[in-house]
Amino acid sequence: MAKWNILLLEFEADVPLGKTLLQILGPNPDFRVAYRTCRELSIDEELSQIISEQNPSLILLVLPHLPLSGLDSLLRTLRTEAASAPVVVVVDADQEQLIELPRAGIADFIIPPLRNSEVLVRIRRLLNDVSQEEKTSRALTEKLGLQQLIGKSPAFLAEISKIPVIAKADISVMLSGETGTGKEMVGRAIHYLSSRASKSFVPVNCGAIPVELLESELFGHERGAFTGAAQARDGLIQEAEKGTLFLDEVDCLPQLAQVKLLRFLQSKEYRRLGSTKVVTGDVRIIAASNANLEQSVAAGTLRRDLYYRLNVVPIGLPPLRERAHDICLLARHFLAKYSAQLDSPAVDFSPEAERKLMLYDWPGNVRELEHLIGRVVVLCNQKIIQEDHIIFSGKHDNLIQLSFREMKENVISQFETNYVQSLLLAYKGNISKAARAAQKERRTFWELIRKYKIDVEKFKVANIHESGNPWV
Amino acid sequence: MKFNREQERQVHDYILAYLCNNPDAGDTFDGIVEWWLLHQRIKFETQNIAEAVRRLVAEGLIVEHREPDSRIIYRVNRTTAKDIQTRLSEPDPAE
Repeated sequence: MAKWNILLLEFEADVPLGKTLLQILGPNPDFRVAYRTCRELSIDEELSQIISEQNPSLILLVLPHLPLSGLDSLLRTLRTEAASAPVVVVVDADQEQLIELPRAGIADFIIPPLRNSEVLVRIRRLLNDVSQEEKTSRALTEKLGLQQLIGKSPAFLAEISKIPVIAKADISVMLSGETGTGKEMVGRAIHYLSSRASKSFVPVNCGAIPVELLESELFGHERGAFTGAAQARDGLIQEAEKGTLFLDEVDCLPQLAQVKLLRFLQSKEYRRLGSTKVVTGDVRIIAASNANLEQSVAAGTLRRDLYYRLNVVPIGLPPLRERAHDICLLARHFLAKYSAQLDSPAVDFSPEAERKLMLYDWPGNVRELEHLIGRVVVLCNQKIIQEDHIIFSGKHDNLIQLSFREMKENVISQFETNYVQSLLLAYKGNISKAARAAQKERRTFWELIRKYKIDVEKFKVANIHESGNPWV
Repeated sequence: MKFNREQERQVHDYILAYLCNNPDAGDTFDGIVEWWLLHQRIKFETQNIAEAVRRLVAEGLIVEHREPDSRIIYRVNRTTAKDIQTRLSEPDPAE
C-alpha cells in the first residue's frame, strides 16, 4: 500500500510539465498519484470529491505561467478542502515572476528544468515534514487534551496516566466511579487519543432509556419489529461504526440486551430487532457505571460473562472528597470559566470560602462543584467570593454550628432562593410566567426576588449560554 | 463575554474544517468544546508555524541543519542579521 497520496493538478493541459512530473513520480511504491487536468483555475464538485476521498498528503499544482489571476482564491480553497496537504507550485517562470506568487498557502515551488532526483528529494522532504507536523500536532493534542482532566492528586493522576496507553490498545474499557467524577470525559479522552478519533463518539446513558426500548436503541430495528416501529431504524452501534460507543450505567441494561451485547463483543456480529440478517459492526465499547459492579454481578443484575468481557481494562476514578487538594484547583478553573461566560467580576475566593469548599464532602463530586461555582458566579457581584456566597444544596452545611431556629430559617431561605431561581431560569427571567408557575401573585413573587436580591437579568443571560447553565 | 464577529467566524471555521477533515465524526456539544476545537486550533497553529518556518528558510533568513537522527534544527542565518533587523522595524505591509 502506498505511503502517500499525491494529487497532481494541472491547469491547462497543453503544458508539458504535468506529464514530466508524472514520469518522475511513478511508478513508485511509496506514492499513489492522482492526475487531473482542469481548464479553469477553480475547484469543481468532481475535484472536490477527489480531494475528499483521496485525502492527499501533498498537492502538486502545475500552472501555465505567472502572474495568474485567481490563484489566491484557488489556494484558499485548497487550504479549506485539503487543510493538511502542503501545496507545491510547479510553474515555468523566472525568479522575478516568482515574486508574484501569493505568500500564503504554498509550501514550495519548483521551476523547470525538472530533474528527477531534485524533484523527488524536495517532495519527500515535504512529505516527511508533514509527518513531523502531524507528530507534533498529535503530541500536543494528547498533552492539552489530558490537561482538561484537571487534578494533581496522586490517586487521580495514576488513573489518568493510563489513558494514552489504553487509547492505543483498542480494547474494551470499564470506567467506574461515583456520579460526577468525570467518567464520560475520560471515555471521550480515550476515544480522541485512539485511532478511532476521526469517527463518532456516541455516549448513551442506559439508565435514561426505558428498558423496553434499550435493545432497539442499541441494535436498531426493522419496520414492524414491534408496535410503533413504523420505519426501520439504525441503532447506536451502527451510528458509532468505526468509532466508540460509551455505555454509561451499563448495569441498567436489561438481560436480553446484555446477551446481545456480549455476543457483539465476542463476534462483532448482531441482529437488528425483527431481522434474521446478521450484521457486523466495528465499534469500541467503553462501559461505565457508578455502581459496585461486583455487587451487581452477585445480585444477578449484571451478567458475569459480560462483566468480565467489558472489564478488560478497569479505570477507577476517585471521588472528589479523596482529592482534597484538587478542590480549590477545580474551583478556580470553574470560576474562570463561568466568570468569563457570564461577565462576572468574581476572580478569586477568600481563604474562608476556600476552607468551606475544602470541608464539604462533595457527594455529587466534580459536577456538583461545577454547578455550585456556576451558581455562585451568577449571584456574586464582588471580586472575591466570600464564605457566605457558598451555599450548598446538600444537607450537610455546618448543621452542628446553628440553633434549630437559625437552621430552619436557613433551610427556608435556601429553598425559596433555589425555587425562585429555578423558575426564573426555566422561564428565561420572565417574572410573570415564573409567578404563574408558582401559583403566586406576581407581586408576592417579586417580593421574594427582592428579599433574596436575585438579579433577574442574569437569568436572561444565563439562558443564552445553554452549555454554561449550571442548573441544567 | 460575547464573541465578536471575527471570533465567531473563526469558531465556525474550526468546526467546519474539523468536519471536512473528519466527515464521519460525531459527538455531543461537550466533545466539540473539549476535542474538536482543541484539535483544530493545534492543527491550524502547527500548519501556520510550519509554513512560516518554510517561508523563512526559503527567504534565507533562517537556516536548517539536519541532525544525524534526521531531526531538523533551525537557526538564524547570521549573514542576514541586518535584513532581519530592517524587516522587524518595518511596518507590516498587510496592515
